[in-house]
Amino acid sequence: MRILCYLLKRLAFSIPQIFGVALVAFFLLKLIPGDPAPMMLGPLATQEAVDKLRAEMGLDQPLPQQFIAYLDRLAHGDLGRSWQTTNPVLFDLWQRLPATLELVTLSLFMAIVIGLPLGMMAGRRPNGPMARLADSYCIAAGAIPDFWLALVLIFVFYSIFKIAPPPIGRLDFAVFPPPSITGSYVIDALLEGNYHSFRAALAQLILPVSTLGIIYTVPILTMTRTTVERLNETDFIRFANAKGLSPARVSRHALRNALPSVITVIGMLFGTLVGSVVLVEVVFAWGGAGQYAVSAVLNADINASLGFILMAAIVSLIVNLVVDLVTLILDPGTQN
Amino acid sequence: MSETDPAALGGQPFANETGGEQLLATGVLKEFCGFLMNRPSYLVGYLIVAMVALSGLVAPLLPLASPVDADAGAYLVPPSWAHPMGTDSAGLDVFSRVLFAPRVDLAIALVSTCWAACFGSVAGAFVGLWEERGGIKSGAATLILRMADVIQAFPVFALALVLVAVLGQGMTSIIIAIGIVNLPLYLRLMRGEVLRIRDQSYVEAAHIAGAGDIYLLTRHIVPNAAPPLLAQMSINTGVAVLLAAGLSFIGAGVRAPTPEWGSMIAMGFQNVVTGQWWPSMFPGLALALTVFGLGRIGASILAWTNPRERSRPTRRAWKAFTEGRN
Repeated sequence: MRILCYLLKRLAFSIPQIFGVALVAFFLLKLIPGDPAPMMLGPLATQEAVDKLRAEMGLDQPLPQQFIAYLDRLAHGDLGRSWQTTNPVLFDLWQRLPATLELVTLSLFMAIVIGLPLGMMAGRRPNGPMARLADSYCIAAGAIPDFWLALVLIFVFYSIFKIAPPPIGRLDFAVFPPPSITGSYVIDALLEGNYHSFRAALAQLILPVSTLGIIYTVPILTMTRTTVERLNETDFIRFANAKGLSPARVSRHALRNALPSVITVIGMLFGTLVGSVVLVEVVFAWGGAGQYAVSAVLNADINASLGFILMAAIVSLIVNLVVDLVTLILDPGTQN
Repeated sequence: MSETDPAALGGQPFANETGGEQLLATGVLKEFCGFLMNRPSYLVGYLIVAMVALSGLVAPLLPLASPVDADAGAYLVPPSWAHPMGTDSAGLDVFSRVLFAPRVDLAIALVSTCWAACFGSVAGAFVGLWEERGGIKSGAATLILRMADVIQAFPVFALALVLVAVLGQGMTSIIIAIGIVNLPLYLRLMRGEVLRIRDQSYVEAAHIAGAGDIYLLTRHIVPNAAPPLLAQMSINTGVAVLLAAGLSFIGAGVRAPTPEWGSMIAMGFQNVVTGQWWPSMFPGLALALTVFGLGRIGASILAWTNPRERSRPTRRAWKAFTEGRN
């Protein structure tokens, strides 16, 4: 019941945020120089035709009314058409989103697998060898551009050692994609029971996931470490140490209490990654929402570009909502 | 900190200390240099950034191959004496382009960070001061904060990318875009600092004595908030270099043949797959080194403001101490 109350309150808070996001998107749309009506009709259009189209598109209305009409279209899922693919933008994004989410989720998973234990160990002994390792890791990984690391990994593991598949997208040309159920090739292949395409899809994932995983470990590692360092000073950890609990036991207590802040960082990272994955998607020709956005931006496909940031903002809002709920369940004290 | 507005000072006794302050400033600078000299892991950051900036400044004076005119016939030449970092697929000398690139990359990063820091921190300072003053001031503060929330709801890179798309490609657009996505950071940082400093008794005393907002800000808040702000700016300049290079990498930023690390990495991309690593690897290394150096500068400022870190004996000092004892 309490959780339900909180959820409702939290949802009420996200409504102005979604409104703000839509306002920014609308503002950006209006910021583009030039009148879209003559551009759509071409240079030979008569003035009447232009006026008629302007009236149809609502461009002759005052701005607040245009914004309301824009909100109405958004609410119906109408993000306009992309002139590149000639499809509705929502359809295009919906098709490409699973590829991006698959990459982001697996990368975050890898970042957690490296960052959480390393951060725990570094935090438990702030002057130990693990702490120094964590220091060096953060300094190095924090400075390397992700798209360049992707190239280095391709060079080492594909060009030199030939163990990784070429960077040609989500699946080798020779392998048929599995029937689309969830949109994630790995999961779909598993559901179909097709071991061959499962392996092929997984092999394509290794390099991009490693790239993002290596770089985005840093925030998780840092947050875990500082939280655990702070917990070392608390009474309950001192007490646990004093009564002679094994270090592993104490670490488990610390981890349980560090989780809420670590999960908050993971949620924020998910949002960031949906934007930053764009670069790595381009390197690996991933064909996800990020690559779609890049080609939209480069070809002045405004509906598609705005559709992408709207989607990215909404995905990160949803993730933040989920994270807040999980934190509440883990630590009921955060409610206020 | 000059006394241009005596009314704002309210004739307070501590208004006339300019000479003492300057003395203090040089003392602090000396102490900071000593602090750096004992910590090579921070010093190296300053050296790297100085070198990168210098290479950008003096590159046109050096006897280098032209960074924009191709050497006909010398495509994809591996590193050699004539071309220390080889040439790329268009026959351009990679070494000279790497040295010229800071003129674009560092300039974009510095300008965008500076304008974002100026506007963001001023707005943040007023938001912090006005938040609990009631009336229009509170309303304005809340509005600005909500606007920052909305900007932060967008993923950084995606927003920068779309801003460049809307504003049109070019250096000015990149500077504006990177600045806008960074504004909320400074706003929040400064607001946090103001909230921390605002409730100190000396600030309250000044406020009660009739000091105006401008006086409070310049006299008490800015000097106290400067170290975290400078640290953030330094780290953020590194992030801005990465953003600018990233935008250019996908073709939404600076266009080839202008020497710029991100677009150079992009140009060499296809060659890396076939085994010619030099057109992409060297600019990437330069980029990573620059970001690393800026990060170390930021870390050094943070360490300096942390009393525990600052007074921690370095290994060298400890060795000198123990040797002196024996």
